[in-house]
Amino acid sequence: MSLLEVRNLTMQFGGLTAVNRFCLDLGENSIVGLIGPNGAGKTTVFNCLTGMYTPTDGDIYVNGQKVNTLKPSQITQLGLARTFQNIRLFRDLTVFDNIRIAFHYQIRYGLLNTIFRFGGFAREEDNIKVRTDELLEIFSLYDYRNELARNLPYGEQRRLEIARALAANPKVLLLDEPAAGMNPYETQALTELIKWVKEEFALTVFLIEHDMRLVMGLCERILVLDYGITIAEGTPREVQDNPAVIEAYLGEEALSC
Amino acid sequence: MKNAAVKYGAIIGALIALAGLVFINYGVYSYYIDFYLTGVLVIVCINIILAVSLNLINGFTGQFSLGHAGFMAVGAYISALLTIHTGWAFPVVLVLAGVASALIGLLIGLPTLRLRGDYLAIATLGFGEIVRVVILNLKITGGPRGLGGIAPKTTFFSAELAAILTIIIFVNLIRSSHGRAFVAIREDEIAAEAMGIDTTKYKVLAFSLGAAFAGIAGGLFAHHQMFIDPRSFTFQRSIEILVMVVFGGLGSISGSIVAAAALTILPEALRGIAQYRMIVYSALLIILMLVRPQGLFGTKELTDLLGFKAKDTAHKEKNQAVETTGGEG
Ligand SMILES: Nc1ncnc2c1ncn2[C@@H]1O[C@H](COP(=O)(O)OP(=O)(O)OP(=O)(O)O)[C@@H](O)[C@H]1O
Ligand SMILES: [Mg+2]
Repeated sequence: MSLLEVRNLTMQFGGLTAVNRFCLDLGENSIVGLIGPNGAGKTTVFNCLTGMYTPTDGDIYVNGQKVNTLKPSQITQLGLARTFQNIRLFRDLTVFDNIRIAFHYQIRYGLLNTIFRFGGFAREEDNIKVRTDELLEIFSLYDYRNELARNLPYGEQRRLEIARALAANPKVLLLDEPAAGMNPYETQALTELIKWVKEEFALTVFLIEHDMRLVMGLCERILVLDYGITIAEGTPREVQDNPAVIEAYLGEEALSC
Repeated sequence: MKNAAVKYGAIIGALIALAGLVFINYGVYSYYIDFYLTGVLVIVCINIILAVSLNLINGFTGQFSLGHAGFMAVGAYISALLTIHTGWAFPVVLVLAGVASALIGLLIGLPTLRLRGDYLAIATLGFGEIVRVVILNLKITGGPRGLGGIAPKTTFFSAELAAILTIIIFVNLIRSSHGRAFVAIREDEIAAEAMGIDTTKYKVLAFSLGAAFAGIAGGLFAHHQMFIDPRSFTFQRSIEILVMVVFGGLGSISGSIVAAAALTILPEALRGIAQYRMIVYSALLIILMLVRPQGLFGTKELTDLLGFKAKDTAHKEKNQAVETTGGEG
């Protein structure tokens, strides 16, 4: 059974069809890219998958369970976690707390255990601390542990967002332009990090990215969106040579000139 | 280093609080503090409960409620009626007052959840007014004439105990994953939801818990005044509590405690210059908001501030370490 299955996902905003009959089938431990010109509908796909938008039409299944009408928090709890194109950290909290918060739905202590501090409360809190510190180490953020998230350099903020998503214990990790605003050196390091994390946490990664080197170097399979329509799908090589893809991107260049 | 600093701060904070408590209790029970002042201290305790509980809604969860006097009124009337008509034990009556307010909090929490900021403020303001008007028009509440003859069951001890328990409960709550869930909603509701936090549940929880403790405070208030009428629970009262929360710092329990105490005692202390009292009070508020718009404590706790020096040096050492290893990544 596939981890994430999408059938004919369609999202309309008034007269605009942002995503049109989008299909996807993600198996375990795979890594798939979603590319396309600006405004193609990539982020809208993510927003539908994570429950931020309720799709106009089509079905989304996580582990065989239909999730169309579930709340984002419920979908996250089923194993889908994401980052945002325009970074959404808890800016005025510490780096440590940003990650710690994402363990929330995994705690077992209830309100009474919290108020009276019994029933393994301390043990669980310690466990969360240890696991948070582990993630900080993995993402080379430990030195920023007690810094406010807002004070982090841009690249570190992006990394922190990925670390936070991982703390939510996902099976599928959705990354919306993880390398946006990074220099080539940082992008290279991020590519290696994503590869490593994917193996280490046995994850499936679905990512949107404009940086072609990252996409081509990382993804096993790529989907190309243009005006909401999937115009191509295949291996990086196949997609690169696809005339429709070249035209979509050239068309965009021509427009932006 | 940082942990040591926090522990150090926590110990000093606990010692200061304990010393203050011993001092005040010694004063009250040896009659150094007179009957009138003891009454003021009871009101301080009640206001601490009100401010700390409103802080959960407005400060930690980032919602904007102006209806706290309404919840307080529900608790005050329910508890007063229970005492008058049943004669049940005071703690039981207080708990029931809290439960009744919590249920009402749940009722108004659910439909107003989709509202944000100013809209939520106006909806909760409307709620407070509805409660007041209902009380005005019911027979059992005595309408505008009020409800008298409530047994004076609130002692300094019971008020103090209730305030301490409230503080312990809220501090424990905030310093947990549940507490972090409230704060996450304040910081970024969409990100919080994306991280698996059921934001609806936690917003309703904040409203209900805040309401519950406002209800308990109302119960203490009724049994302290021995007489309540709708004028005790006007919009003005909600504003007074809100001012305490903002003054102390949205998101700081110690701030709420200090502000509740200061803003209750200050007007009493200024009684000597009766006609200028409100001017001085208001001027102080304006000055504080100009100098420290985030409130006395901001989102920090007394314990953080006491551990401040040690933490600062830890921070510097850490930065040096980063510099020597060089900025990689
Ligand atoms: N909430 C919304 N309401 C109305 N229109 C929307 C909404 N969200 C997205 N759109 C529209 O849907 C289209 C697709 O937007 P989307 O953000 O998914 O593009 P994208 O592929 O992520 O682009 P980019 O590469 O610039 O991030 C755009 O035309 C956008 O204006
Ligand atoms: Mg986008």
